[in-house]
Amino acid sequence: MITHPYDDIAAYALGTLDQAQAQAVLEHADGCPTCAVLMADAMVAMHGVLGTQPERPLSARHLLQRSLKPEILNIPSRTRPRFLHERLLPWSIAGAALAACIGLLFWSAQLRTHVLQVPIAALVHSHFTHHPLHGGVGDAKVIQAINGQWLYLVADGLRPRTSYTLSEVIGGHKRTVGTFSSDDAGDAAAFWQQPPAQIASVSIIPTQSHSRDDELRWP
Amino acid sequence: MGSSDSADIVRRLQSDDPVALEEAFALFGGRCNAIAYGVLHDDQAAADAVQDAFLSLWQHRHGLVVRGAGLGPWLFVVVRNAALTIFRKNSARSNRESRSGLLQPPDASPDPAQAVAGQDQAAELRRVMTRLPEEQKNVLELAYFGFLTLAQIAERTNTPLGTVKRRAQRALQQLHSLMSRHSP
Repeated sequence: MITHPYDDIAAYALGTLDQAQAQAVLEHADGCPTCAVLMADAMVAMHGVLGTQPERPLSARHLLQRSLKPEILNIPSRTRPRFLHERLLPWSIAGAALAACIGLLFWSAQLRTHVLQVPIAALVHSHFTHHPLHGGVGDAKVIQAINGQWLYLVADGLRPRTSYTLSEVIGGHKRTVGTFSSDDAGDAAAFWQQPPAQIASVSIIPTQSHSRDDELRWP
Repeated sequence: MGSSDSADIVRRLQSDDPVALEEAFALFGGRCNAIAYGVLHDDQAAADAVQDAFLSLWQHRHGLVVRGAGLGPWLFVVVRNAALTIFRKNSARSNRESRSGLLQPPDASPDPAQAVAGQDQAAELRRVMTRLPEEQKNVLELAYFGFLTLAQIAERTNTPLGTVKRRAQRALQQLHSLMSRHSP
């Protein structure tokens, strides 16, 4: 027998549930049309209070980045069959690539707390691929837009609290993309945007090091 | 922002269209931010709450039901819950409750214009609340202005949790009815 959280619906609308209870109510409403309707009614009731708030523009940084957390694009698996059948091919490819990307982003549990804010448009409107980096100390992957317009680096097992430089080779020329720092656990994540280009190789190395033994690289 | 536009956004969200999420963000982000800021009085924390709310919108898009008022009510409630979650975590961390009392507002200095808007809203709500039965008014006071959970309200008022839940439910119904009568 299904238990409906009728009492908790008003409590949710009032903001009086703790995080776990609130999440449970939202998830129940996902699969229960009756409770979803009750929830909608309760929300409309609170709208009388909350809806009178004037706008507060998001900060300039926020507006410029127009960023949302990358998890937003992690389409749940239950939606994928419909997604793949109903959408045009480019969207299907993009969806599969997005799912792969998000999986990569979270391949290390430690990295969960270090997820950067990625401009949503960069992920939504790009096709991308990923490269594991080899060599040196630690593990790292670079996820890049197919057209080279952005790079996302995730790494663990690096030297703790160390500045690293990420370089790329484009058209036979090596250039520095940017620097980033590992945290106390040796984890790191960083994101860069640049003009479109065909990236031939990518490497990271501690900024103070010139030894190839310290370098992680692709291919 | 008409409710028909909202309905279109909801329909496209439910078709897994991420562009609809960006449109919702553009249309409701500012008001969501105001609601979150009203709880947290901190721009970065408010932005985090807004992002959490839009993440929820994406995650729950398939079960989403919105009424005539459109997507706004859903987002406004969810962002306030997200802000309250952050506030409670921060409170627990800093033990702010024991130092300054639960009904004190967050100790950061709010933006003056936002503070005035928040005061107007609070004044309107308090005016309507005077027409509620005392026990419902108390629950609303502790919930809306004190940021307490139902469990905390039950403990603080020495009232069974089920009773507090029922009072909260009735208070919300009454509030809706009274606010509807007062809206132009």
